[in-house]
Amino acid sequence: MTDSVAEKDTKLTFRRYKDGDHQPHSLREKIFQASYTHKCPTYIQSTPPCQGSCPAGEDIRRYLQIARGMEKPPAGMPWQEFAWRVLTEANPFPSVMGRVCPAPCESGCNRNEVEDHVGINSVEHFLGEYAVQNNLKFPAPAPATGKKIAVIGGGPAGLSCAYQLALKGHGVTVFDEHEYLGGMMRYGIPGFRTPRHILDAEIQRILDLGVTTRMNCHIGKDVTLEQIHQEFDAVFLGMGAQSGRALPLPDGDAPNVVTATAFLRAFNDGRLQHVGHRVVVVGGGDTSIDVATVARRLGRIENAKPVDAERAIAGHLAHDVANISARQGAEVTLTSIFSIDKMQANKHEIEHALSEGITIRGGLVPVGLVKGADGRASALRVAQCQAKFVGGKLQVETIPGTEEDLVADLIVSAIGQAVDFSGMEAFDNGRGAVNADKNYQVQGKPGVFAGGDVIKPHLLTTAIGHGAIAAEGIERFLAGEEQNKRPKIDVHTFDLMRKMVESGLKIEAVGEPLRGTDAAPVVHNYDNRSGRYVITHEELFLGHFPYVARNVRGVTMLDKDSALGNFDDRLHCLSELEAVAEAKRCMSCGMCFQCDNCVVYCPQTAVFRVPKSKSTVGRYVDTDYNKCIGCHICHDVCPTGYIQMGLGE
Amino acid sequence: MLEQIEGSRAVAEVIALCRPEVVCAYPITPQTHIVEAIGEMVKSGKLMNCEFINVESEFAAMSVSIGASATGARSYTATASQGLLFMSEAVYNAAGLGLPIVMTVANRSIGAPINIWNDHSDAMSQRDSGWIQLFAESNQNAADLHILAFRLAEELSLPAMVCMDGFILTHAYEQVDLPTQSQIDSYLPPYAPRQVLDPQDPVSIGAMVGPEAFMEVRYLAHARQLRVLELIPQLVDDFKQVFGRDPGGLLHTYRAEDAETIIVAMGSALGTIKDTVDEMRHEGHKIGVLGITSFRPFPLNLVRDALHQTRRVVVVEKSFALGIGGILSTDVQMSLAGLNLPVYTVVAGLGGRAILRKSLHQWFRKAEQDELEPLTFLDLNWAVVNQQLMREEKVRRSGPAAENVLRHIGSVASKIA
Amino acid sequence: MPFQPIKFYQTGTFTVGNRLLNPEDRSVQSHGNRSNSITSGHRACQGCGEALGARYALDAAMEATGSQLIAANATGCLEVFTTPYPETSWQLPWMHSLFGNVAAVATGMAAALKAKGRSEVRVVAQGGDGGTTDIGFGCLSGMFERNDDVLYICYDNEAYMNTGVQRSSATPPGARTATTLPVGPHPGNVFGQGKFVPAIAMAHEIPYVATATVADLHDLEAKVKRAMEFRGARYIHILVPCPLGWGTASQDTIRIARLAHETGLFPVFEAEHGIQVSALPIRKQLPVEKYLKPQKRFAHLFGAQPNQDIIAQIQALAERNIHRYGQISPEKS
Repeated sequence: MTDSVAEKDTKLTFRRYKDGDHQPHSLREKIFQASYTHKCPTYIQSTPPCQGSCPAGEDIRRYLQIARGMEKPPAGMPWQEFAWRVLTEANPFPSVMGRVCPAPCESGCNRNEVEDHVGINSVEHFLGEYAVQNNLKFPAPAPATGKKIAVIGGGPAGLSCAYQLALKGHGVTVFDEHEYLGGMMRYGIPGFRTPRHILDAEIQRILDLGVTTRMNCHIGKDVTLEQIHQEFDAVFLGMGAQSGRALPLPDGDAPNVVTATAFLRAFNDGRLQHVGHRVVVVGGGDTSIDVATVARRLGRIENAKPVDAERAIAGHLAHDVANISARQGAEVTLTSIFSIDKMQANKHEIEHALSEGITIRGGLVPVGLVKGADGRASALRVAQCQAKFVGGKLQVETIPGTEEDLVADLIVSAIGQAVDFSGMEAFDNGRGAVNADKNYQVQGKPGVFAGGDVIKPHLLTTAIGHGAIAAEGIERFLAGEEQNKRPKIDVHTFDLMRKMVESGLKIEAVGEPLRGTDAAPVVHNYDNRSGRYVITHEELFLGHFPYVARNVRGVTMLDKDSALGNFDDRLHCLSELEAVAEAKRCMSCGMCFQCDNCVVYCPQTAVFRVPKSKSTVGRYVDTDYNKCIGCHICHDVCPTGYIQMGLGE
Repeated sequence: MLEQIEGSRAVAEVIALCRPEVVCAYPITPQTHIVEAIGEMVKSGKLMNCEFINVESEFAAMSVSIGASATGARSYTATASQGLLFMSEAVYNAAGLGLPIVMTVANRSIGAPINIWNDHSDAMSQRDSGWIQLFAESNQNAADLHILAFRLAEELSLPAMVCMDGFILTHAYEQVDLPTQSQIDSYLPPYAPRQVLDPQDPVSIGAMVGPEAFMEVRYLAHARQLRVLELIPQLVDDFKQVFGRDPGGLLHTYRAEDAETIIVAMGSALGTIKDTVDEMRHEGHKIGVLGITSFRPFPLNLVRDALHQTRRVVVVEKSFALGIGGILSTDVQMSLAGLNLPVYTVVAGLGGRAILRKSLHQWFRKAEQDELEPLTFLDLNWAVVNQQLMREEKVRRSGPAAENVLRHIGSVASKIA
Repeated sequence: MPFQPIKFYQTGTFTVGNRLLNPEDRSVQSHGNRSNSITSGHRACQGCGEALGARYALDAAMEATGSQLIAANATGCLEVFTTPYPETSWQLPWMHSLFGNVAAVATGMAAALKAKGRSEVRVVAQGGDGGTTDIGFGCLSGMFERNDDVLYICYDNEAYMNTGVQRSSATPPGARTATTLPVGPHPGNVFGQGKFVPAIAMAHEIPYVATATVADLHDLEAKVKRAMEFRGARYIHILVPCPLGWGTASQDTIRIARLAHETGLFPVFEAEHGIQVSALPIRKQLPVEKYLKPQKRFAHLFGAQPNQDIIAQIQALAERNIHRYGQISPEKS
């Protein structure tokens, strides 16, 4: 004890007060010391969860802000076009994706904590439709660089990559073994979900950038990889996972047991005109629903041979197309190892399927085939099961003694896809996929990038995102730059500096000392943390948002009978009024949406609006730090979480 | 125009001619007749552009007056006794804010014991409030002082209290020369406030003042009070020109030129005292009177001038500071500091006790002989007092004093005269 | 073919001042030219609800009257923190007289204006809960019964904060104040006492009575504007959390005020001529603990062994309020 006291006496201390501190402060200073704090508001831009969960990395918040009228389009441009241009910086397929994307953005939407997510997908749909109807074109590409890139696979990944590269002035050639571009968008998804004229329009827009194609071209057969390497400066592998996974049954092989990809391709090629009497689809994801609903629409026809369907799927043309009037409903059963509420497919797709008379049976696992004398399967043997993910791995426990036979004329396996590496075996990592780094450069193959299902079968939007990121990697490769680290949150995001330049505001370097916020060119106390931070609903002021019902897209719900033979687009586009209204539901997580709350609630009127001549999106309010007493109310009432308390500490 | 009229009515008529814009009324004897009469005049349309408000208490009466005055309205109210005490907080506030409200105090004693009759205890309780306090000697004087009070108050932005003895003046029918509207209008200009709540020029009134400025603000109020002493003689001159009579200035003397004994008093008692002095003069006594109109501010120098040549001073006052003695006499003594003049305090007429000429003769003669105690009580019934004192000494539970005294006297109100 | 109809509910994001709203739907506070009746530089504590409530109410009243407004103020925090001599935060004519007389002072102002024929200038009186429900209650009631043309606004922070958090007749049961300490068998303020002045105001059958919280700005402003449409006595009672007296974080002022409404403890409604005409529905009723727990003045109810009895009694008060004032959400019923 004594030691420490002695130590205290001798030890140097830091003086707490400076000379002159005993002098009385000016009245003005006293006021602010009455409730003094070091922490005053700062403006922090974060990534909203919708963008954080968008595999294509769309700047969703921004195009919703444009739609709601907050961010104004350049003079002469309709808001729809401006919003579409922002959207298509990330994704050139809004009209397609606005229909079929399962919209992880909507699941992530913070508004779910209030009442219901924002209908982002439907706004995207609206913008896409607007662009098609008004024949909008992408901006002219940058001056030609003379670089040539081969994109293998004309699906979402390849087209996305081609689009991004073409915009930058590179010469892009797309190789595809199909007759038409589109990949899974065309051959994997039925036309009543992606109308062909829409898909064609969005693809044509990319081709208009000067992208050339070589269709019906099989790598390894029509052209070799070596030839491509010689001719092109870089290669993008986006051939997708075109072959389906067969049922993992010991005797899973039978002519009428097919994969979903084969089934859908046959349908989308027009070969498959009808299915048999009873169809059993094994799956649970969106693809299985597609198969089931297609099967339901096709139905069966009288006098058909039981083998017609499997023959069509196997590549033969149908013979009796004329007999469509005799079409009758097929009994379609969809099985999933999960219970219906836990199936991966989109909830509304499941509802559609149920409404259309498809039987969905959850908690069933296929355990075998019942084969007839002709070698064809007559039934799928299933058993009840319990499936769950344990540590990221699927575990399925079959309940013994619950086996039953589902009688079937056609059995479709929709349990996953596989990559067809024929001609490109060198890229197979041995597990049916391509190994790529964070920039989607194939490991050990400089100049070769990959994206989409070849990396891991996932959503269309994921493939689009891959394509865009790979395009950036290819850019750097072509420029001879090192591949850099991708940001933690790798999505398109609002860039205040760019916006300020666009708005004609000057940005200049300003040195210390900085005091106050009136030094004109300074963007004060602003930080963009979009690359590393997704804002959660807990940081928003949710009390600000009253219940407002979502503007739901009109949907044609079909029943058992009307589904038969109906291949019309089921989704109705929002009206402009509705699209704007829906955009207004956006809570603008992580970005000022000009609600004025902070200005309004500030007890000291320290928060003020930036003068109109100097304000822009994200630069709408500012704080006079001479007036701020740090009560934090602005932080509390900021609905968007854009205001954080900082400084001084 | 001369009229035989009740004192309250005369005051009400004069107030109405002064064109008040807000008048608050809360009943308390003996002031009630004044506001009743004003209320009637407002209701009948005789007094226009005036809001007559029946408030729920004297506290509200003064508060309403404060609000009205600060909003630029000429404001008037009247009260007495307990009412004045109940509004006391607002009385001080009005003065502190410097709002030229005019109020009649129909002087009445303060309970307990409750008593509705006249003395000056109520007005004395507010002597330090910052209000101008003018004491009326007669009903004519009361009427005139109200006119003067408005002019004075508004000129200096200070509130003014006109004190008139309850019942003795308020309920007495005397001849009063009531002025005409044109006379009043020529004497009293429309109220032009020094501070006013006006959306065209927003000000904050009633801010909090800390130690750094409070004394200065208080001193300024004092300085304004002292200005009254300069202003009243000027205003009295004006008054004489317009109305042709003297409203009574700061003070006045009566037969005091060669007096060896001067009686100092305020209010209606001056009449009785002057009669007594007349009688004593007739008998050859060198005795005179100093009547004080302006008790606040107190004209220290004028009082000294009036008294310094006399041999002795007798202060007859209707107020009593328990534990020390006279209130007016304390101020008189202060004005005579260093002169070595004997000052006899005679407390008289408390709670409506009649001040009799017979008794005054007795006391004044004693004073002339310098046989008077410094503090005496005119016509105090010592028998009653001593009996109660004895009772209290003997019996622990001696009971309520007032009731004991009444029981001893035997009947209520029969011994006023 | 069955077609799912689209419902068009959207009225715009409910932002208090969103410039995307129609001008008539925007809050007064969001206007660039709001009067800022209490301007910056005042000395209210961090997060002071009264400073906010007073500015909102007065700015709304200023707008409703075209800035023809005079304010009277009772003694209290609001008066003290806005006017340290020689400075003032008030940008409208303002006067402070005493603690208990503000209603009467305002009566005088209104009377003066009437006598002078300046009917376009309106008068607002303001006081805290002490100045309103206790010491100023006599004058308030007098102003009400005479139906003087005054809008009286009570900023209720449920205790005498200016003097150091003592109990007033608006202090809720169970709350700790300096004069209702959390000691003994019945800690905090007792049950069965206190008064709810809005109900008493209604009993005077004055033209307009309303309650509001500082949390719902649109509601508050609408009520002030509505009040200014009437002549005669009007009363608005605004709940304004006090971070110091309630023991809440300064940034929680708005949240706490909102919780007071959403738990039902503070009824938000309006009445005309003594009859209730509306209630602000509770969108999703929350248990009173949500409101009580963040406040240190109720801390003694929680801790290791929460005082379930008292909490249940407070919950019962909330239920009674919701029932009495019909604050049932239309979405629920």
